Amino acid sequence: MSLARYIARRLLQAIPTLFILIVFMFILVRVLPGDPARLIAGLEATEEDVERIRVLLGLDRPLHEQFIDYLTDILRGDLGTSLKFETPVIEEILIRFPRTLELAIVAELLSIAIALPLGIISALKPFTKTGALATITSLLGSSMPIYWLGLILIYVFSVNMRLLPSFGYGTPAHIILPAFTLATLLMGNLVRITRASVLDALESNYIVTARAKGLSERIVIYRHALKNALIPIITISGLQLGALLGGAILTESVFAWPGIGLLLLDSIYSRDYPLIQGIIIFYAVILILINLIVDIAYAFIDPRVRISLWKSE
Amino acid sequence: MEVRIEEKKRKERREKALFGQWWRIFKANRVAYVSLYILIGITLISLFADFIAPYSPYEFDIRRAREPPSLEHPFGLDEIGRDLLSRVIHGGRYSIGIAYAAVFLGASIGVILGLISGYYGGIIDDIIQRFTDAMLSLPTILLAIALVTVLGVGVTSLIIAVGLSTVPIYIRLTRGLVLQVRNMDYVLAAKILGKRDTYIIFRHILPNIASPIIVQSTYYLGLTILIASGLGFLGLGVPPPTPEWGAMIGRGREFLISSPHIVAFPGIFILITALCFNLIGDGLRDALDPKMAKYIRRGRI
Repeated sequence: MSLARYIARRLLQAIPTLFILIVFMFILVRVLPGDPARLIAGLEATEEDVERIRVLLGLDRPLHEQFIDYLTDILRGDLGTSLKFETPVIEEILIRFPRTLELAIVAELLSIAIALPLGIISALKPFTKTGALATITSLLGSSMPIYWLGLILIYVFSVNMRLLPSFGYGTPAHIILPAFTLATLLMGNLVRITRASVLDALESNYIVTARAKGLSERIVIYRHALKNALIPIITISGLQLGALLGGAILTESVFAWPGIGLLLLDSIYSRDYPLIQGIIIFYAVILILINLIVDIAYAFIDPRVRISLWKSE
Repeated sequence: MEVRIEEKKRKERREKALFGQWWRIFKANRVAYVSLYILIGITLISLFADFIAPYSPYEFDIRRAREPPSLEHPFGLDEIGRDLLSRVIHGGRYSIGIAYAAVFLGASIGVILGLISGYYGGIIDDIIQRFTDAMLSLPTILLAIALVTVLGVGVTSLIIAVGLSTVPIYIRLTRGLVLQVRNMDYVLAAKILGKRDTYIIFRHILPNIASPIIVQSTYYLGLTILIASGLGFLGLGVPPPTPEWGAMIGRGREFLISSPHIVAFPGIFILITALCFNLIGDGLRDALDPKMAKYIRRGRI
């Protein structure tokens, strides 16, 4: 099967997923207890205001009509109008999302920069201090409440040492603490996976062959073992972008980082339902796209995957 | 009759021996063993919070708000002058209790759907899998936030929201495991004997895939504590004045600069509890993994 057909098939598979999610979000807002229009308008609102919101949301029309409208709007890239900002939801999202992406990418790179050497060294030399450090990192990483870590980091580095700004967005110094906090979320897994895949590679036949050929240990490890071990690591770190976007909600709240996570929280606190819906659908689209890109990249890097695709046809 | 009783006894003895073997391997992992006791300790302290906590978790004295730790109040006082130690002790009930309940809920629904999906295959499998895809396309915490937005704040809705958000992970896990054993000889034999599907699923399939599900559940307990307390931190968990650990951090963060103790102590307990679940999970994985069991029989451990 050619790569193009593989991409086409994966894109087709994404359609039912997205459709179910849109139906789910559509139902979500309509099963809210009480009258959603009244809920959004607040208790003090006049009957006219409630009516205005009802018409704005299209809640006065039959359900199937509402759904078809909703769906066609989404397909045209229109996610509705924010009740609070009174601007198109998509505009709001497109302003905020690049900032979240910036945070997520820096966090991803940071976690790779820390986890990769730790994982590799602990696989090659398990009973050293670095090996122990790797074990501790991987354990703490997967048990850490990151929002708490963020607050502790603010206390140590901003309040006590006055080294870094505690919140906000703008200069490179602003990104250090939030990115490190978010990176912790991935580090545990990444250390574990790196160690496991290096150990796996070291046990494989091509390493035995390489050693039998009389290659130096250095070449065996760097040229043969690490290169092959990198494939699952790249895949996993790509797939973890989803977890990063989830963790970014907490991180952005701690550091007042004005990204899409903070926008989601604000929209929840102010009951801005079109905005909530829009953001969640946007997240889903982005994550489905990321998974697709990772899968394609995977097929591109690893000839074995390409062959198995070809065979599966 | 005699023979039957004899057989039953032998079976019991065999099961006992098997459990003894698991327990021996688990105990050999010192860290996991100690973690189990720390966790039992934390659970008991939270269960008997009413007798153990030195003060009431709700009584406040606004004049002494944010007092730092002292002999009288080892963890200090919180933002409105409540004893922080007592609140942390009571908070375990909510934080750990919510995690247990949520994982139980998520596992019950997810495992059953996963069993159905994997065993029957076909169109049922397709439908369940498309739903799983849709739910998995969102990160777990975002799914939980979306659900809690609909359900509102409160202990019950937090349990339902966090529990349901783990359902798709359980469906995937269980389905994968079922596919591995579905065509095993003992399942085919049971089918040839004309056993009912429910009998085969619960008697032959479920027992054979239970260990990885138990191991994963231990890890999910750790994850669930982090997610539930995260929602509490964001103000989407339990309403005040409930002493849930995440919510305590969320309300204490305003006073981080002058009184870091309000934030520090609940967080340490979240970290320790999640760490215990992860370490116990590692221990269980080693004990229940058949590959490790082989080493035991060879006398390597």
